[in-house]
Amino acid sequence: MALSCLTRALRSLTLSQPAAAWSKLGAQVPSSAVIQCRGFLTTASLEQNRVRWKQREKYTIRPIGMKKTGGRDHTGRIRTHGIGGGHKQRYRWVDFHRLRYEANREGQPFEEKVVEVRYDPCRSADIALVAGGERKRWIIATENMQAGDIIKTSGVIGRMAVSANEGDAYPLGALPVGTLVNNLELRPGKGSEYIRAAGAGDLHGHSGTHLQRRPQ
Amino acid sequence: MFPETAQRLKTAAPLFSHAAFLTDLKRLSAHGGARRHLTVGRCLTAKVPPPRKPRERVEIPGLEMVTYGERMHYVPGLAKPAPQHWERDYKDPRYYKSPPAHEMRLYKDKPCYMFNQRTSALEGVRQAAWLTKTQVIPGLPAQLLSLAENPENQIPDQDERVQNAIKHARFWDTTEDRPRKEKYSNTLLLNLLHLCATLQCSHPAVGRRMLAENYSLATTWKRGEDLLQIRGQNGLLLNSMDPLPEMSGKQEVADTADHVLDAFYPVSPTIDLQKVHVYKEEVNHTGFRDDYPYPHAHTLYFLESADPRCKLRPEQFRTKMIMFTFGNALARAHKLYGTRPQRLLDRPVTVQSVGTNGRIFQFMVFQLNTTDLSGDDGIKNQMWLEEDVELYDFAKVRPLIKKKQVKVQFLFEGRRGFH
Repeated sequence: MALSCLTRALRSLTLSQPAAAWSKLGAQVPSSAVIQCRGFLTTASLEQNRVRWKQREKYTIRPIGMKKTGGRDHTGRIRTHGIGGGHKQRYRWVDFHRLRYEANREGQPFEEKVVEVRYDPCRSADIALVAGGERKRWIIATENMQAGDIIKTSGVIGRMAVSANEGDAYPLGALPVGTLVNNLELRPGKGSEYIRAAGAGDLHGHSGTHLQRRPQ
Repeated sequence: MFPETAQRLKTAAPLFSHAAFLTDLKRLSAHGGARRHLTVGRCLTAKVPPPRKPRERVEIPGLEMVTYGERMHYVPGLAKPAPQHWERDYKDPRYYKSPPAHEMRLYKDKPCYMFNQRTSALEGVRQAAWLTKTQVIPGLPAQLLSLAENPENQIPDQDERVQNAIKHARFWDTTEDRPRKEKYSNTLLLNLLHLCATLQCSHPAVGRRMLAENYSLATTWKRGEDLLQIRGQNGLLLNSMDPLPEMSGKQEVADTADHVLDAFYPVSPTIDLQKVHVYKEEVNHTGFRDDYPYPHAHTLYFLESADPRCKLRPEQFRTKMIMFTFGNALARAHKLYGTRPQRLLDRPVTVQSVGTNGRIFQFMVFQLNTTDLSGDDGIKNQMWLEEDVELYDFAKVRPLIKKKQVKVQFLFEGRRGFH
């Protein structure tokens, strides 16, 4: 793009100018030889991975190379201080929407097997690779999750409360009062936004519609 | 900023016409990025305005938009013509865009699961055993082991010659300090093959075999409701004029009907296989033409470092070995007995395979007893697998130097008694 601007600008520099104009120009503006030139860039912007690494649509379990911003915005100035440096990290795309059904199996509760639990440099919690059906995905690992565990995900709210094991995912209404929950999803389908960090866990409150914060 | 610039420009060049000025300024302001002007040596814009979203085109059914497309120039008041799709009337391979999957000629609604050289199966040997309906027996069959132990079948000075072969591959075959893994594993394999071939004087059957490399294999079979295919270019294959004798008798083959395959719920057995909708149905090709003089596949050789971009763990490497051996056997069976599923083959097809990473070897013998693979019951195929056999413990290149004298040029520790 810079090259095309350059060539366009140079094309506009014609040598055949009226003599009077040239002499007057020469007198008044010794430095400028440009009459009607837009000016051209002599640098080109390098293609940086600034936002394109985040725009991938297809889910993948392979780690994605990140571009650190250092708190800088699109103008290049610091918008948020205190960010920058640190070890290079690769982003592992964690699927926060636990109740994501596979293509053919909508509506049924399903089970998944934990393949491995590993450290994630992008967050304080560990992540677990779970495989179920024909797909694999990363989720936030709970405290005692180990490779080989089977975890259940269900969207059904029955009349009786479910006896949930660690790592399972149920709607809050199906869980008994007093269970410790994490990765809470407030709006159905949006993905979990609360209680995701390491050591976080909230108590399912009495009336069933609120959570009690556990004393730290 | 702009009035300032305008003033400066005015003082600098009074010859400029007012109209030209305004167009210049407009161009400066219209462009999104910071532009450098030759006459003004400073940044003209501090902050880039966000890109403006184009006006929404509203489509009202029944009302046709009058565009300036026919007039070939902009007319204020008329709508912008919608971009027309243009296609080259001749075929240019540089600018060819392939059609989307559902418009391709070979598109099918039913997906096919492909296994290729880069597939890394999650569950490993169990998954391969389920997909190929095989009973896995650890350890090689007794006949093979007795053949190996037989002193008539061994090369004279076997230990020394094998050690020389390893030393050549690991130490001598390079001008640098140490050869790289791809190189030494390949050299070692070829050296050992050469040693086996020296037995031709005493065993004439060795002369009826031929090595082949990079042949394309393709096989199709049905497992339950899923269509499975193996496609790929295999590395090294030893072909032979005569088929291998079967390893297990009729009774053992019939006993496999009682064996239950390992299921690994909740993981589906087709996990990690490439799911495609565009494929050729019923493709069965051994990789060689019909009149090839060595039609029977004898042994396959797999190198872990064959594909530098794809690194497989040992379990996944064994899975790849199993799948491709099965693919060769099935392609051969389809050619001999036809593509209709046969419950029990008259003469089971046997294929061997060896996989290595330069030091650790995996040996495998596969016997195809049946091509009826859709159900889980019935006669199963058999496989003998010996995992992780070390040829030598280590091969250290750095010479041992004491008091500036080279004591030992290179260290090589091997096991006594090679197979």
